[in-house]
Amino acid sequence: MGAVSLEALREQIRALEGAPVRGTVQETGVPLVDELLGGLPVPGLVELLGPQGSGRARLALTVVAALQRRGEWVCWVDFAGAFYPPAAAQRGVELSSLLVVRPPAGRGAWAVEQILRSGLFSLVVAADPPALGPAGARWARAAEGGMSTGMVLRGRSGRDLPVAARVAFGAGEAVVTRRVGGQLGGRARWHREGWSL
Amino acid sequence: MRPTGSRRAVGAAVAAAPQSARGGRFLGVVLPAFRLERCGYRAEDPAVVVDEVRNAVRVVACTPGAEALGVRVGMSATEARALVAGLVVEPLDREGESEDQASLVQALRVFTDRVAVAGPAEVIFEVSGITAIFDGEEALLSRVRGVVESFGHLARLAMSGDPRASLALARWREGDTVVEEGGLASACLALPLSALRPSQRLLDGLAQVGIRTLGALAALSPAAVAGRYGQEGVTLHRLGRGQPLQEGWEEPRWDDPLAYEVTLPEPTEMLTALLFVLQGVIGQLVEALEAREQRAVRLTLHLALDGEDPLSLPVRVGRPTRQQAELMEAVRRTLEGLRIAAPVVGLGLVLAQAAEGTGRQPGLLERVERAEELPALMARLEDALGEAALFRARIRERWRPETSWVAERWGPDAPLFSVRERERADPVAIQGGEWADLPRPRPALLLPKPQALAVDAAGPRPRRLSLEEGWVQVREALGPERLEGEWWTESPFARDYWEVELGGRWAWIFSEGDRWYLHGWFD
Repeated sequence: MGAVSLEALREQIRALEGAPVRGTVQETGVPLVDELLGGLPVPGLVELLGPQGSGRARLALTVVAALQRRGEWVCWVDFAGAFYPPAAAQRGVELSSLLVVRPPAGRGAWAVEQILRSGLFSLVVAADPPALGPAGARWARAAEGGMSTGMVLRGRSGRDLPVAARVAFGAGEAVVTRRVGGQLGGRARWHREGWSL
Repeated sequence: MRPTGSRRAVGAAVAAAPQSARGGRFLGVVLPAFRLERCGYRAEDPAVVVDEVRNAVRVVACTPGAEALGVRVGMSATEARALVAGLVVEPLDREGESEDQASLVQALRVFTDRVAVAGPAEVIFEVSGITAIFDGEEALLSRVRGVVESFGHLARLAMSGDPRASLALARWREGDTVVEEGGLASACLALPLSALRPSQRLLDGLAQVGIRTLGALAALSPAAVAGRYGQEGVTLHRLGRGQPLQEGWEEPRWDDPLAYEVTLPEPTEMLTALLFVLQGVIGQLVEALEAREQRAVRLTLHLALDGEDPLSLPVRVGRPTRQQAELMEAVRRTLEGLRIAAPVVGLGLVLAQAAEGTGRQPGLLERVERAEELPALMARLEDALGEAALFRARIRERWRPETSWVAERWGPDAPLFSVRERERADPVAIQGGEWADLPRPRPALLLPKPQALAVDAAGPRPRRLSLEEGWVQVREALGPERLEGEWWTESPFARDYWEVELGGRWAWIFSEGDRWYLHGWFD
């Protein structure tokens, strides 16, 4: 009889509990995420690119609300200090169970890494971080270690963040430039009231 | 080039491993009238403290004045009142006594950290090795007496090589008693056995054969004592013959803070080297916590740097623990990523806060993929970022957008930490304009402060905005939504908000008077 590794047993327990299993994607109930991106990578990072006002945060908040409805914990790391809770509440976010972190300058990247690695939050949103440098790779490793998903909202992409999926927002469109699993994605029209695929 | 310079003190107290009773010097301090002195009575006043003992109200302490009139501890309050006319009876205040005793002990720590409360109004010091600092034992006793008397208490002090004997001699003899090494047997010859507080059974058994002093007990043969009075009798017999206690004596719980200091064999900047040293230190801490049945809540890690000021780092454990692995992990995470100005030459670790209890047994089916528990993560984040950096939001009924929410401490049962204002809706605020009756969307991003904006407007409606990239045409403008209020304050507001589309981006701007501001983005 072959030996069963402890990690394999843990994965079986997770599967029985309905928890995300390593190397899978998590459906959110949000069409843009599930149909175009292929779901949320578990573990992994997703990048939402675009200038402020292009609809990135709206997508992120919709995903947050969907995960919260399933009882998952979510953390929003607000680098710019611009997160506006009344808007989040309008998108269905349960504010009482959303941890918001406004890190002081220079400590945000470390904070995101710790939260990703802890494995306590199904989704960690990092909104408008500064250039990451080596922290990007650390975030990816931390997500791997904690079986977490990170969602990074920023204006420009860079080589500093290994991501499983990427959506670019601009000119009224959301273009999936990288899909979970490596396939090319599609497009969605973005307007004030939502998206249309 | 490696920094050079003199080594600086870490600043943490050094706590050697607790010494056993053997071979030490012990100072017993007994305050015979503490319980009544703390209530303001003098030694000559006829006063007693009473408490319920075995379903009756009994005297638990009395002044020498009451004792002189026949009152005894253990007597019923009724009997005592009948014996002494005008007797003052005070109910026992345990909490007040405990606080007063703690204050006194704290004051006595100036001599040594190895101080323990031996009983109500009794304190025992372990003073091995420090008497030379105070110019001898007599001088030390005098200094200790001075502190105790400054608190307004009568004191009896006794020093010997045995803690139990020191306390017993202090209970029995007035004034100061110093028993030289080798003089324990002769000093205890006439010591009443009752002063040693043995079990009542032993006391009664010895009294039946007329043995009431330690000297009389010591005169018996060891075999006879062992045969008739058991281990307790043997222990007292040995004490009476001047031999230190080997067993049967419970070491006092020294109330000193757990603190450890290590000087490194050579300066280092390597995390692995520091963790290697800390492994041993934390092992000692864990042993001490187990002995005290406590768990660590907060530690302070001191780093002595070569030629630089020492660093003091708070280490919050989160969930109280005395598991070595968890404490090591908390310390490792504190050190990880730390930038130091110079190599480390010494370490100090102090238990800053402890919790009573035995700890938590992890469940068999606990989710194992969670690398860290929430309290531990929150503690680390709060230590590093500040408590105010982590919060959950709560909506308030305020028309001014930037004050329409407030931050609260996040956590299942965390108390509020920032809400000071009472919640109330603005009684006279108005939301007017074309959209007054509709729930308007709010921008996901609100600038911390409204940003002044150059706008080219046609009447009240904006046509072009000047942003960083230059003038941008407004393709669509929805509004105005009038938000105004706080007229009774020094800073009322009256703003007309517009949702404007700028080529695929939606911004939230407002005009107030003849000025325009960018306030947020519908991101």
